[in-house]
Amino acid sequence: MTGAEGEPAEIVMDVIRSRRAIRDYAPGAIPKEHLVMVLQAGRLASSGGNNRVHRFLVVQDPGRISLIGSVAPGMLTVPTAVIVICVDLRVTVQRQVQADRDTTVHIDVGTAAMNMQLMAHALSLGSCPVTSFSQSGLRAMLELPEHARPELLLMLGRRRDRQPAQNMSAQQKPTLDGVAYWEIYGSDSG
Amino acid sequence: MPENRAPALELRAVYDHLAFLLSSAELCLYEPHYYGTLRLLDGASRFVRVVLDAGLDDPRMIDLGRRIEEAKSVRKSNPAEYEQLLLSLPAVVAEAIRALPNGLQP
Repeated sequence: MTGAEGEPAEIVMDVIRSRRAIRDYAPGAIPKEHLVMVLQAGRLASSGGNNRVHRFLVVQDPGRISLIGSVAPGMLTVPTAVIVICVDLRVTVQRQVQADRDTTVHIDVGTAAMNMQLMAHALSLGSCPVTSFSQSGLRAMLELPEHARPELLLMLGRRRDRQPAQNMSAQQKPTLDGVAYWEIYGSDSG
Repeated sequence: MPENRAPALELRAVYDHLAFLLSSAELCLYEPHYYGTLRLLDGASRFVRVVLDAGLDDPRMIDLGRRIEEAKSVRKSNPAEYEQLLLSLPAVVAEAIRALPNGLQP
């Protein structure tokens, strides 16, 4: 975060703008209260139909993180903590949500993960979402119950510095005109 | 490494590597194709680490590991250089094989 003062909208935009996926972490534990704030941010994310079918598993034990890394090729570095975002299939049954067909199940993984990343960033933590992992492998490694379907891993660790990351290249970060249209899809800027 | 003494492979490291390779194979079913090269490269990098950690003393292997890491580091920032490095790596291994005492034997 580049500044903590200003109007709420500016503060929120500053957090959004300066957040980056961080895979390189400084040593040191993450304070428990920070992890709780990250979890609260996930809990408070929007949820399709307010069904709240997601559950979060926090892993901090280095041995268990190592087990995750063995079945998660997308986890390119070793984080200090991992939050496993799961869909609880017992809850989907209770709420009559079709877990394999209802797109909000996956969308809500993303909204929770983004809320968590923004909170982590505001707390000077680095975070990076990982979806490149074997579900069956992760289930076995972490002895997840059958009704817990892991959907996303959020790597967390202390940021190495408080400086905002360098700007992405133009190719990676399109302009607003390149992604947003007014009234007619594909139209020039309004 | 003393002569006639095999590197001490850790069973855990071997299984970790197998878990990585098999998870990567699964992911290749539905991830973008270009991820596949990275998974294979990362698998090679991990394999180099496993055998070096086991005590293998081979400068060519150390050099290969360094080259692999270099390729991994430019995958996103410089795709053209990434491709060139990928094209060059098999030759590095080939030269290492030919340099072995039994390298030219069937």
